[in-house]
Amino acid sequence: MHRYHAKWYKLDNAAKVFPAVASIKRTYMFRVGAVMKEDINKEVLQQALVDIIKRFPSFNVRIRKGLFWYYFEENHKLPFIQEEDPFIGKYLEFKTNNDFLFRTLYYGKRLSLEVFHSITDGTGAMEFLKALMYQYLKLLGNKVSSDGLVITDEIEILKAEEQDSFLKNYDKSVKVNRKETKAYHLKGTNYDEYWQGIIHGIIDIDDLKRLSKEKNVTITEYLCGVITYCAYITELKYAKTKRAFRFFVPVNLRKVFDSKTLRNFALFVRTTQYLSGKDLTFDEILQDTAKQIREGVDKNRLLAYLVSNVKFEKNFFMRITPLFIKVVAMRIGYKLLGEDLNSYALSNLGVVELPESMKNHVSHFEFSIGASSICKKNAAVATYNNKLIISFSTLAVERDLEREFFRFLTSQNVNITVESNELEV
Amino acid sequence: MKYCKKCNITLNTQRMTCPLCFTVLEKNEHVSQTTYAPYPGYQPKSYKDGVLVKIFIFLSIVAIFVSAIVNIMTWQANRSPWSIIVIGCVLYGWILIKNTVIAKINIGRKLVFQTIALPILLVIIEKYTYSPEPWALDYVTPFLTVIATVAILMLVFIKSSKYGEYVIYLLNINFLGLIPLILYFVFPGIISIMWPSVVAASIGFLTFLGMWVFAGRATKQELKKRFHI
Repeated sequence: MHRYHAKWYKLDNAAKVFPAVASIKRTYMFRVGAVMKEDINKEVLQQALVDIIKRFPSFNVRIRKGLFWYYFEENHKLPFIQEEDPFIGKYLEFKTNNDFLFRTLYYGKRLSLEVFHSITDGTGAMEFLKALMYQYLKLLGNKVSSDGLVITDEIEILKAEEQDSFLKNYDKSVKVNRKETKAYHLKGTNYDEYWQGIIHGIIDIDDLKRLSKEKNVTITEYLCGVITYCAYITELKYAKTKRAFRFFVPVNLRKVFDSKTLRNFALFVRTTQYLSGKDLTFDEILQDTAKQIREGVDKNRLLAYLVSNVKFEKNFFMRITPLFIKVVAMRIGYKLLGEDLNSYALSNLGVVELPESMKNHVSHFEFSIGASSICKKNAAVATYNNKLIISFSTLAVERDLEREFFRFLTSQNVNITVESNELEV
Repeated sequence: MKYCKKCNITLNTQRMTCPLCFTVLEKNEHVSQTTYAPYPGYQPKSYKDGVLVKIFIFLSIVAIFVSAIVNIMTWQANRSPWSIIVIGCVLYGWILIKNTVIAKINIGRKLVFQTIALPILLVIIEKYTYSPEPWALDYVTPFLTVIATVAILMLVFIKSSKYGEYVIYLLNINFLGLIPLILYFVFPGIISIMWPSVVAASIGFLTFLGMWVFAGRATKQELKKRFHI
């Protein structure tokens, strides 16, 4: 019995809430994918996955219930790959997945990971996907080198990759003030059983650079501005509501707080715009959105948010409450502080960098985040090799907002190719 | 590649209509990009009905319902609530099948569940069959906890690397093993024969000590995991 040593982790601050609130209505499965130039060889992919999982201990876990908190513990089973079906990001029953909290999917040329948000965020998942691709290409007999851009099994496992950076940066002395206004939720008819439609738009990055430069904003700000404008012309202009349109933009904290973690480490900026019944132009909406996002990405403000979140988990009474009561509390808290405050989310993963030796095997990367039955529409962006891929996910059958988005861009002479999972619309 | 002239976009799709505006698409010959199937086609899922399960559920309800009615209607002839035994057996049968036979959960957990559920059923049977000699709490319950402890210990000996998974269930059963003896002292009269309870409590206590002597580190680590605040 002396051999017994199972690695275990507490869930990080962001991860704690997801197991409590996830359901088929809000699965918290997000997705990173790569479209390769050749069809995926599934035997090799399976081997690559088994090879690489040990290098990522924070992915090689199953979730367990303690008396007071959930925890992760080392998973002794092996992960397996699955062929994709058209139901994107569907609720993951861990038991059916050898207890793993992520799926590895292949279909034709596409290799995707669907990840439960508790183990990591988009940046962490992309690192895992790149490492998997590297191993896959290596096993296929390609000469690849990591050039310091990909984590490989030759590189040691670092403690810093398993760090809970929320706790690391917690500072008791920071004062927090959190007053929030409720957000308007876009309307729409849900698909049966909360299926999720996905629409990828493949856009030339130079076109977007030109457009955003014209308006003196960043690409993220520009995309958020266009989506806000499209929500305004399709719905909010005529909606009778006192609620604000609130755009939720995740911010990767790894650069802001200097962290190398592969677990969750992101917070967000939220805009607040009262649009209903007003007569606004695109420029007014864009500049207001951009200004609010720019002001939000401020280290002190982000730190205040971080502290207020961690404070909740550090509260003594919260800690000694049994898990089953905590779960109820977290569900209520999540509704009040999460879903009720968001109208729409756009997550930009940024530019995905690959070593030269891998570049000619990959066409592009995709990143998409889930939607929920309350916030029915979301978008996510990844950029690679001059191609920006925006992925709209929608639980609603209606596609007005996405249609207006693409039409707006094409009216500005932008070339777009669209793909979707072909659910009935 | 196809083209939607209303949205002004190129589409990589098998669809005949634009997924955004439902206009019929045109073939675009100019774009010579290689295409690939973006996603597998949509197929509605079919669901298994589980007719057999439904039949058994319904039969269970019928059994409970009929015995309760007969019991009430013949109350004058036989003043005994015997239908409670039927109801208890049916419910226990469901627990046995669903939780112990079918469920894919840790064996330790199944054993804990059985050490709680079975005594409850047996106490009901003993009470309403008006048994002259006590047996459910006096003999069966203590020995049940002994059997459960031995079963888990055997599993641990077979595969010691899985010890951690059983820690919590061993502790649960140790605690359950103490209950008959506690009942004996706290509520005199419920249990009249003491020695089986003493055996169960002793084995529970010794197992508990053994867990610390032989696997103190692992036990401590497992408890830390389960009870971290």
